[in-house]
Amino acid sequence: MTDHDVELAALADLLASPLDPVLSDHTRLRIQVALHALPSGAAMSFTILRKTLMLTDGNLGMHVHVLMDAGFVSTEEHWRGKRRTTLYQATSAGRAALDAHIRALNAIIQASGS
Amino acid sequence: MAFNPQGEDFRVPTSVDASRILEELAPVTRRSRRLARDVAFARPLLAWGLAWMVGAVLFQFVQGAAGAVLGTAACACAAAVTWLVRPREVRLNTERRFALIWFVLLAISPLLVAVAAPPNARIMAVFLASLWAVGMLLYGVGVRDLPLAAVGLAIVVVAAATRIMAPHAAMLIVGIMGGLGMALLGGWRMRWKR
Repeated sequence: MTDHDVELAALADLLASPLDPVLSDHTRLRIQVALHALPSGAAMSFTILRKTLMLTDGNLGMHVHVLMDAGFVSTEEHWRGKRRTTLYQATSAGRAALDAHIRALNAIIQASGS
Repeated sequence: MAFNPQGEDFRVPTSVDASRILEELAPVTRRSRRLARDVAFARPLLAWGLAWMVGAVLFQFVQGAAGAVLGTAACACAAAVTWLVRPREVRLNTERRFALIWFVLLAISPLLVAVAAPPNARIMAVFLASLWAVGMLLYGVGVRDLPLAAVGLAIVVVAAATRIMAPHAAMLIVGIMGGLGMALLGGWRMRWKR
């Protein structure tokens, strides 16, 4: 097996990593990245997520629900007095999907350079 | 509303698109971490900064044991504020671990004071301030919070310099400058509210 064959085999492995259709939307990808940036088990409120991404409430809400339906984002509610706060966090499935999606994007770049 | 993620809009990006997408993600990661950090630490820094400044002035200018008691009370108020107004908007999942580390540092402080045997109460306060500033420095390094680490380092440097050059005013200078540094950092981090 030559070096070239080894390179092609590595590239084939990379290309086997599929793009995730849910994360192919730019806004949803950014939401998932914002949550992925926090340590595992960490979470942020809708307000902080909106400020991070500079999105409108409606736009963020719609895309977060798609991510929740896909099992990439989970929520938990906290009450302090009468005030409720919903925290959003990346699930392990969401973290794995984002990692695979980024691998796939890198594979596309690498394939074009070979 | 039904949503099909593999609808007509889905297409495989070109390498140029892929590069652009990946480039655009790095700022999102940075902003997400920075905002989470700002939300988590803004109020405690503000509270502890004000407590240091008020406590140092009281300790320096109120005569007798009352000064030390009032100075300690200011720090106790800051600890209470840190606990009572902890942010709802972000959970970093490291709060309990780091609270335990801070508790251990505070709890062993009297033992280290006994080891260092400072000559008077004001030098003891400077010693404790620099010890807690080391905690701040290590905490900042641990959570990659460089501004916080820089404030911790600055306090240690100021404490060492004033202990040598102006020992009678060391506590006041360290309290005011350290407190101001923390309060300014905390105030700056409150900008997420806007």
